[in-house]
Amino acid sequence: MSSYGTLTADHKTVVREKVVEGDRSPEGWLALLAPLAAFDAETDAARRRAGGWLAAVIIIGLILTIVGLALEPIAGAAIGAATIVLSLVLWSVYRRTKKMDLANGPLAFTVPLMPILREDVDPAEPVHLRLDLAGYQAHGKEKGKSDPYKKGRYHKIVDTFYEDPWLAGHARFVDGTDLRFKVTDVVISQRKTKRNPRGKVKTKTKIKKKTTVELVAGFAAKNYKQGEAQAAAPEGVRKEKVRPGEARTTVRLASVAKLTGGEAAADPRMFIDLVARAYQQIAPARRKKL
Amino acid sequence: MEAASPTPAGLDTCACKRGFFTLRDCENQASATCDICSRRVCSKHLAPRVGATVCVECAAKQEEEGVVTPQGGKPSGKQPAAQPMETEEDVTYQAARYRSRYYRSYGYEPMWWGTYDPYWSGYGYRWYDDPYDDRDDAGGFGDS
Repeated sequence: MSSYGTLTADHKTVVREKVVEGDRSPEGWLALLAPLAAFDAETDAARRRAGGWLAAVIIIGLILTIVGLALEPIAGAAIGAATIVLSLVLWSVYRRTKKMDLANGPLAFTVPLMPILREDVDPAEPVHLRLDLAGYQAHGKEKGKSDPYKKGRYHKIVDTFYEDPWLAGHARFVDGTDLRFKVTDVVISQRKTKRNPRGKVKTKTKIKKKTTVELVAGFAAKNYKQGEAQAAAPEGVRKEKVRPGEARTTVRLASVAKLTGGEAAADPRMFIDLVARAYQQIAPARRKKL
Repeated sequence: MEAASPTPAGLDTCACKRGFFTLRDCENQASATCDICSRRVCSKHLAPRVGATVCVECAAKQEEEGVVTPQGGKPSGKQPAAQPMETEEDVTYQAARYRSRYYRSYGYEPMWWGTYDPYWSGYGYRWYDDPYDDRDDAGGFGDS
């Protein structure tokens, strides 16, 4: 990959380890994550291209080899050898890009949030993030498998459950508000097998994903107090709890989105809506110019 | 472009507001005057426009009203900051655009922790309304 060489040592470490944790300013996180998102989009495209070419080379090469062997054995053998060499090259490109692949969801969620957070974050307090870019299928994230069961036309269904806590973080705003947040994917991979009327066995895998964004916002009592009761929580907000305290009013919120497909990414607006909702639960306690 | 630096209040400071969930004064030294609102703004709050000096807040408003598209002619995405962000000005501009759209689309009223500015009178915002203060200054804090 040509762009791999242009990545900094920090970026390469993230591509290799697929987990990044630390304290940076929103600008710092943006500088780290935005090039990774661009790089990942490029490797995804390269992998898809290599996969497509690999399939085409194998199919066309096989046909040409068979035809060649029938017509001119030496030419057929040469085509067969060329097919194998080309397939191996494309396979190595595919494997290499697969190895460097980063989960799309966490980057698609986090990168657009940084310019928003940057507006409110206290410049003296870095944002702490732990971002797991390995994807839900990474080692240790499988939480269990169902026993095979039957349903409708499918004579064998096996559900595999994954839990992927891919983002956790902490930020402090200029107004003293303290945000702690966590984003977790619960993924169910359903492998369904059926036999069609001609007796052919067909298996397909369906992936369902549930993304939960949890937020705990602590509003400094010197600036905020509990506000008036708000109307019903917007769609997707599952838990809502406001607890006034001597030093802080704490608002706990969680929002859930159901997605289809392993690569589906949660909308960063989920996070923005939760923070906005938390601010709607409180009211300013004094006049002050920040 | 010269980097903006914080200046003491009351001097020639940027009129744009910083923040998304809360709004506060920018406090950077102003370096230009917006062609649309005539407010003094700092270099960070200038929209990337060619041949015009426009603050990010006016640019966001114009874009939302369909007067102009952002530089490059791309329509605004639904996600925050969907456009490429290569410079600091881009990042500030993207945030201002998304802020303007978010306030209008979802009715969010930010907390106001800045100086009163009639520019923002079209937006809803929340501030501490002192029951013992008779001045009807629509929130915010004067320079005095």
